[in-house]
Amino acid sequence: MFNQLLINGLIAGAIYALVASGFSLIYSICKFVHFAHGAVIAVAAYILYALFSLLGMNFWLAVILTIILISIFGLVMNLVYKQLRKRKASNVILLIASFALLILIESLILLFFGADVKTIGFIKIAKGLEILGAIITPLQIFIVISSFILFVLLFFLMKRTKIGKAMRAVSDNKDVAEIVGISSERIYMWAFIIGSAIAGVGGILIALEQNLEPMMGTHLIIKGFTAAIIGGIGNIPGAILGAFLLGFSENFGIWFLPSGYKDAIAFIILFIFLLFRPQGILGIRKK
Amino acid sequence: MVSRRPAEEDVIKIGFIGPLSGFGAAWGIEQKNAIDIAVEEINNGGGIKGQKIEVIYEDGKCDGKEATTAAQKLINLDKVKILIPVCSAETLAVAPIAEENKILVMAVWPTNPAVSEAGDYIFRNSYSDEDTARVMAETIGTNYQSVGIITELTDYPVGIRDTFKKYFEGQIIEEEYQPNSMDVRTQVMKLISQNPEAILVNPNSPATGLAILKQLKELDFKGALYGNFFGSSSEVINAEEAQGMIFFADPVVEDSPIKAQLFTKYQNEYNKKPDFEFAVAATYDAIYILKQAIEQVGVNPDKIRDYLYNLKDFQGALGTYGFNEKGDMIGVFPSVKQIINNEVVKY
Repeated sequence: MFNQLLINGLIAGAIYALVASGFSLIYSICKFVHFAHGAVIAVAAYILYALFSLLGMNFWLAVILTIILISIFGLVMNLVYKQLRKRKASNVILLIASFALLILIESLILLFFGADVKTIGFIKIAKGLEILGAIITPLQIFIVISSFILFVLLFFLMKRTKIGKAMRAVSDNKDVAEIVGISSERIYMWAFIIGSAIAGVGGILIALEQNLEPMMGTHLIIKGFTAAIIGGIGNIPGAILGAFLLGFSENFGIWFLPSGYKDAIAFIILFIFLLFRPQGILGIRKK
Repeated sequence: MVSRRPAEEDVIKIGFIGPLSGFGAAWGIEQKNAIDIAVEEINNGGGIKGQKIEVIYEDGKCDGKEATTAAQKLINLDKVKILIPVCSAETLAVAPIAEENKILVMAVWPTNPAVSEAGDYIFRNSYSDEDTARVMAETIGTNYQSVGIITELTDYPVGIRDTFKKYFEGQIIEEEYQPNSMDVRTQVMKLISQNPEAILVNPNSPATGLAILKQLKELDFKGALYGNFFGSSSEVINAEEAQGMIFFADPVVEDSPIKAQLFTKYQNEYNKKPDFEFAVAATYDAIYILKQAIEQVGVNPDKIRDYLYNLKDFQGALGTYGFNEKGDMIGVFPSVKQIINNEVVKY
């Protein structure tokens, strides 16, 4: 029982981590809340559905194409924000714009694909593998491993690569970074490309695991946003940590509490953090 | 200064409040299509005593709050005298406002038992989940003494669960989840760990229902599977994890000339047969019921109400039927079907 709860928490946490990490990357660099990130995940899922299930493309080819297309899609979204930034829009305006984009994109998905749930029939559904008394399917194992690999890759990206350093510089202090010759607009572009590519991977895995419906982006970004704040907004490893904390507390929580409280647990934790440690687990308190 | 055109009197305005977005859009949009077909037929045939019908569509999202806002707008701004809500949540939210303003409500798919007592002006040409839950309890109770129910926390599934508990005589194990949750693995695990002989999957829409079926299969549940209406969705019927599930669905819409004509038109116009046959037929009928009433007594909610209470033999796509003293439809019962080999068969 305990082992199954652990596994359930791990799977939930990994899914939240896939959402929260890209979102946190974009926030930490561009410094505004990109709610439409949820829509990016949904679009990636539907692109894979369109390529694989509707057009009959080879699955792996469809995956690669999806990630490429969704990174471009992320770039297009950045163009929208860029226009607003040119007019000196405040971060609140960008947040509202991101809400608008989220609603617009989900409505377009509803328009083109319809409201019924869609499935991507690539993986046969069968009893999961039994490990230490708990059941987990190969896909779920893959999702958990992917989130760990993501964690490691993001760590290396931010700490060891030139572009990562430039990203940290812009995140720390945009104006000083520009003085040193780093183009912040170029870095924003990279943030959206990488963040959206991560969202693409997330969308593909979530589509396989949870099926697709037009509102999936909203539900995912609410949890992803919560995880990012708990972990420390602007801190990418923190977002992943927050995601797993959320996954575990929800699943262990409803072992003891009535199941209807599952979502309440997420928001209670958020509330506690905002009250007592607003910088999150790994965040640094800014004076 | 903008003045109101007196030409408004030439049009009979009816307000529709149904899910045009969100999970309910799966049927809400089909119902809107049915209304479009009915309205076009009537208006092309000269309207109702020379007046054309205009239906104003509002998106209720199958949600009480949205429906309330929509109703306020339709009644106060558009000055409609007749409302057509869809879901139980929408109908129950709209009912008090309609009662207070003396607006006629012809609801087209709310199955929650509470609608029977919702008011004098409230009618529905839909069956009640009082019957659905009773049929569920009888069917499951014939074979099993213990059943686990996993319920989505919205009006329709909760109505089913609460009524089911009244009728089922064996042991009931309950689990529940927040609306639209796709990850209910732990709740499913809790349910299976108590070893029920059968599990009744009780979601608000096929999206979460399918997720539960998938998780049941992954966790290797070996007992019997039952479901609510979500089994009618084509995605569910073709899903591997749904095979063998027995579900309780809308009454079968018997073949008839009206049904054939409606569905052929639907197919021609929208390039597919409707997924939700009962809902589409009921909605189409609702427009014609209102037409018949208005032809007899005019656009007067009080007179239409009295007319409908006395109507016992309306002939529509759903067959020949009328309303009882509670405004409920007389004479239809939910059907019991099973999904076998990607097809639906009578159980």
